[in-house]
Amino acid sequence: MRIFLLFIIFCLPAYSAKKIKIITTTTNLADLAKQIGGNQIEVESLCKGVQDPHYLEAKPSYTFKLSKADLLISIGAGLEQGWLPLVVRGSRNPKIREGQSARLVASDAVELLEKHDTHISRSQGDVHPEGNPHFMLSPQKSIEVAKKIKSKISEIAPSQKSYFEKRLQTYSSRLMKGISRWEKMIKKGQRVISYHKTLTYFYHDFHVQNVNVLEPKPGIPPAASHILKVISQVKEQGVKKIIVENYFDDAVARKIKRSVPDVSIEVVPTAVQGQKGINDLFSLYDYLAQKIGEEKSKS
Amino acid sequence: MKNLLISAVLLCTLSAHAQSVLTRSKGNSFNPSIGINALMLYKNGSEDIDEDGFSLQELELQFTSDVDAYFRAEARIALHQEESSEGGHSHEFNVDPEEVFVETISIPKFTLKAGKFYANFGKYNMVHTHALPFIYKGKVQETMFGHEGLSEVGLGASVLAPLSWFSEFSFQILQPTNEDLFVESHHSISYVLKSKNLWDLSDSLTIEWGLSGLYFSHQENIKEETQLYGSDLTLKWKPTQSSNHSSFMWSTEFIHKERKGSISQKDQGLTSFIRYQLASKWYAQAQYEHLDLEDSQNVNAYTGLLAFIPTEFSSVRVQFDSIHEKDAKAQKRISLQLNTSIGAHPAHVY
Repeated sequence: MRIFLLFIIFCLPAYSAKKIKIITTTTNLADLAKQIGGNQIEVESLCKGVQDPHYLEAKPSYTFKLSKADLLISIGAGLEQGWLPLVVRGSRNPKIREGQSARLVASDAVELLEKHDTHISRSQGDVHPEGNPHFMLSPQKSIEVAKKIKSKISEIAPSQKSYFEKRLQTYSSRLMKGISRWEKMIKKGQRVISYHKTLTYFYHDFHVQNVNVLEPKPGIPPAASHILKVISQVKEQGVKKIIVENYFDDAVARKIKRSVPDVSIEVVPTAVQGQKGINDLFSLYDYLAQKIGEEKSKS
Repeated sequence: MKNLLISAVLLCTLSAHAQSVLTRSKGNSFNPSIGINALMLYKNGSEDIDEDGFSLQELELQFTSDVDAYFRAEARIALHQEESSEGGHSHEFNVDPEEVFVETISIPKFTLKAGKFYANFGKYNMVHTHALPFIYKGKVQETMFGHEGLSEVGLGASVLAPLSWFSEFSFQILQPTNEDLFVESHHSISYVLKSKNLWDLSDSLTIEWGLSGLYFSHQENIKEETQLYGSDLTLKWKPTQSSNHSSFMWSTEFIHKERKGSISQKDQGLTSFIRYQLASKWYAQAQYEHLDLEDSQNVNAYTGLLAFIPTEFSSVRVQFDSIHEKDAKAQKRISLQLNTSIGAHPAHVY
């Protein structure tokens, strides 16, 4: 009997320490899962913070990681369409297939911007008919996704429901404080040019006006005629900043700066771990607010 | 002509079926994903001048969908110009069901597969024409499996090994019909075994190693036997930062074939190529192939390719081949290919 009790005592910590294994497609989702799941989860992102999640390859090592996952959290809205279905299939883990119990598609939790209800074709570039998939750059929308994550992991570990609920509240209140701080840093109606429509949701949250993007169409590199059009817009509308996501080349932005020396170029990360020191969503939003909103502090 | 009619009827039937599903369901969510790959080719060579000029190299129709909660299905039907009896291309088109199979989606750990499919042997037998690294199938692949590759009706099972790296084992049993490998028999089967392993040496560098085997035996008046062994090694580098601008790949495959019985044959061959990404849309490739044939005819083939790939849905490739067979004048060939893809475009295998 004593040996049996000792066995139970030794086994109990091991049992209680069993964490939920979560794989996410992006580092922003991984950090959000960590904010809510705390020490009850192990989380890993397939896409690194410096990588463009549109163009990952279907690496067999992703398949291997997904085969052991208790939960897969993806962005959805077509962002991972080029690689994720193949690795999910290869994982032979039926519960993480779309629509199954261990799969969470974050775009289902939010109202997307730039939905295309009319007819679209690939002649318009790399368009997402379901809407812009970069909603994790909206602090507001991240709360909606966080609620969905809390519900899903509470289903997997019901005994930890109150722990996850508490962490969700902590995240939300910390974020609300952040939002009011970032609102003070960013001038409403400020005009910027971006490379791709990655920061659409951040701009939407903080009323930044994205005058144009350097890509003439999503996924299509800038052509000379389009650059000339952007240059005239920069001059006419008094644009002071060109924001380039750090997985794109800033050569075109530098070309524009040669024509309009007053304009400044900010190369910014758009994901957690996308740059040294960007270790969570708070530091990411903070950094973006600083870089996009510097104009206000100067004025 | 007859084949074209069959394919037209097939497409109309599928379209009608899709339409009937549409009226029964909300939107088109239950329709299969449909993709079409078209390969247009211009060729000019020192040999086979009947094949020179412009041609439609291949048109591939792909249909993929979940069948129900237990299976998914895939069909790939290729249309390509028939070989003329006098050599060169005829004006007729062949319809070839390259792959038509179902596989399980609800069994944990395992995938079971049934239908007609490319045998999981080596690195490149399973690759469809539109996704081949070069414009044509390699000389080694053609010599070992024939022009159409090894695609047979059969059953397959695959599993991820419980190891600390990606390690996949697959076992397939196939009804032998390929004349380059088997003596056709309804009462014999061939077995294919493959192990595929991949290690991430870093976030940007992977190494893949595969080992394959095929065995066929049939006893009638004499014992017919075929054995095939293969090994492949692929190194891929793609930096995590600026990954759209530079990448490198080196891939090598070795195959040994031995036939005994009414046909006695012992061939082996090696294919090795490199691909270097010059800029975001430009790639340069070089390939060397060596074949050691039973009749002591050695073949060496050298290939260079330049590719312009504006998006994942189109590419323009120009290729130069120089093929040297023993005691024969070197064959030279220049080819230009336009590869386009419309509709659903499933991800390519890594």
